[in-house]
Amino acid sequence: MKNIISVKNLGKDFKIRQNKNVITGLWRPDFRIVSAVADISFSVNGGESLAILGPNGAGKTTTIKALTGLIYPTRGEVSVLGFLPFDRNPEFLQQIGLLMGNKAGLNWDLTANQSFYLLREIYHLEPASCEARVNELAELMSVKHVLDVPVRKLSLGERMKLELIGAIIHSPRILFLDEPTIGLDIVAKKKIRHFLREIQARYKVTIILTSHDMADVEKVCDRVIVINKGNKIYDGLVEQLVDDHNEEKMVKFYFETTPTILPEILQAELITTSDDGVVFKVKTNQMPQLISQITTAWPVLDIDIYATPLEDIIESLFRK
Amino acid sequence: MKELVSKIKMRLNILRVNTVNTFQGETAYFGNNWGNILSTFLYTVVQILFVQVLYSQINTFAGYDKNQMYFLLFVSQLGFYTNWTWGEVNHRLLIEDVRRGILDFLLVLPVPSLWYVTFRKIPLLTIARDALPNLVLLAWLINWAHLPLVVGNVVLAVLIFILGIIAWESFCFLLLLPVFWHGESKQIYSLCYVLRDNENVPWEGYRPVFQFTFSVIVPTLFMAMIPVSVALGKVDGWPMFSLAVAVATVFVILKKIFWKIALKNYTSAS
Repeated sequence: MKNIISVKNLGKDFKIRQNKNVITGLWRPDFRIVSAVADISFSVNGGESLAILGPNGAGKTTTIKALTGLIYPTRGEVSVLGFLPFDRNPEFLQQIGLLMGNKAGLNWDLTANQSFYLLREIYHLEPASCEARVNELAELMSVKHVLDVPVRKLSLGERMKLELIGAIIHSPRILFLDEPTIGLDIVAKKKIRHFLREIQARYKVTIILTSHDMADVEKVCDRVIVINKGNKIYDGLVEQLVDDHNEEKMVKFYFETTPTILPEILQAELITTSDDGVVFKVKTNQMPQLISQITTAWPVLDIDIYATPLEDIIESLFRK
Repeated sequence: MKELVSKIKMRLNILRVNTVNTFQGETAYFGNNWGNILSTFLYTVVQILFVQVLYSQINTFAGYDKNQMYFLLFVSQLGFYTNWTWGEVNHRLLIEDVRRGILDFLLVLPVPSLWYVTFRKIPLLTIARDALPNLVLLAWLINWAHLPLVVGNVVLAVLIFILGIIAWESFCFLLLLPVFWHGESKQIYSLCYVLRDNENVPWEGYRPVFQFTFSVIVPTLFMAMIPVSVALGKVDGWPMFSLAVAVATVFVILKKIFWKIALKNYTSAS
């Protein structure tokens, strides 16, 4: 696959006003420079689905904004589809779509169809094929029945689904998603994840996503970049990331009556204990001994063995 | 040449679709649409009463008789409504969009961004609803046959009026741009109200220093006072037209330059 995004030593600093003294700050304001992105390099191939992860303030959204040309980088080089994003070349903008979970792009007072009319004209889409595409996407998202309802009267889930349709109405080659499932209920989240996978497979769209929800990453993306304090700390396949941390397993024991006192067992780490069961983290090669020790000492109803959750893996990366 | 035609076509298309979209938005809150008529109508009535009182004491003011003063009031109200319903609506919308980071969605559209934000709302319904009743009332009060209007002067006056609207829109646009640096500019922008408050004093009533200030530095007089003076043949039209072209050009260029600088400083609120 062809390389369509190239980022070299990207950095973005913001000048933040901070007045310790309210009075003197009026005529002599204090500023400090905050580096939202310090030094990030990576590249993306066409058709990839990439998640950019990091704690709050890590620089995820700033990276996406630099890739879409919304903000001007302080340093470094960014090339997307062969264009410098900040030049905002119409040919470049015609090929990207943007969805931001915490912002509303559709006009609040109009219906989704009225907003789509505006987008249709802006992107020079043929009316009949545009209508067919909207209907197809709305069908996939189960929002066809609300296309002519004013956006202000819709639920958050319906609105986000329509925002997503608006972001891909022009069949972009790259879709940028900044926390697309934020605030949504589990049903809407699942629907959006499924939809994103579907359009990626169907239209070969390259997806760049930021999220705090690991399920978004696991269900939608193949590759992950983890950034912290403006620097890249991991870049690889999601599968690989999980495999790399596969030397440990989580083992959950279900008891009729959960033991109140558990002795220190081998090198296993006690993660949680509740009426629901007890969870240990243990090295894979020591797992049989742990199971044997526990089942000998207490009557066990059931055992679950699973890999370390992605959330825990990412958290351990943040801590490094 | 082909590229130029395509650029013009794209801009005209933006005007068309934004007009349709604005109309759809204007009709969304139909019940609220008529609330503004009363306040604008009362304002016009107060202005008419002021002219009545003024001319019950004197015959002319700065060389203008009562009929010519009504004509000045008519043109200044026309300028006011054009600015209020088009320029100001788009300016306030832009301030809010920058503050809330909604400008992101406009900047990723494949359209000329400055043109788009300038003409995002074209509220024809609002203009018709708020401006027409008042303008009709003023037009009815004017004795048009007694105005010394000559076609050539009127054409120049209309052109100066249009250039004045363009210059003033650009001037006010510059006043909103601090929002890109400070995250807010409504108070700075409100200077536009104060500076425009001189609209009912004839051009001839200003001292030269104020004529210069309010035409070249703060271009308010091109929206009513100068076009009226030109239309009535009180001042030579061509020098005023040339000045209007120069001022409008400078302000449009400044608008374009500072828009580019502002976008470089856009931080896009999260």
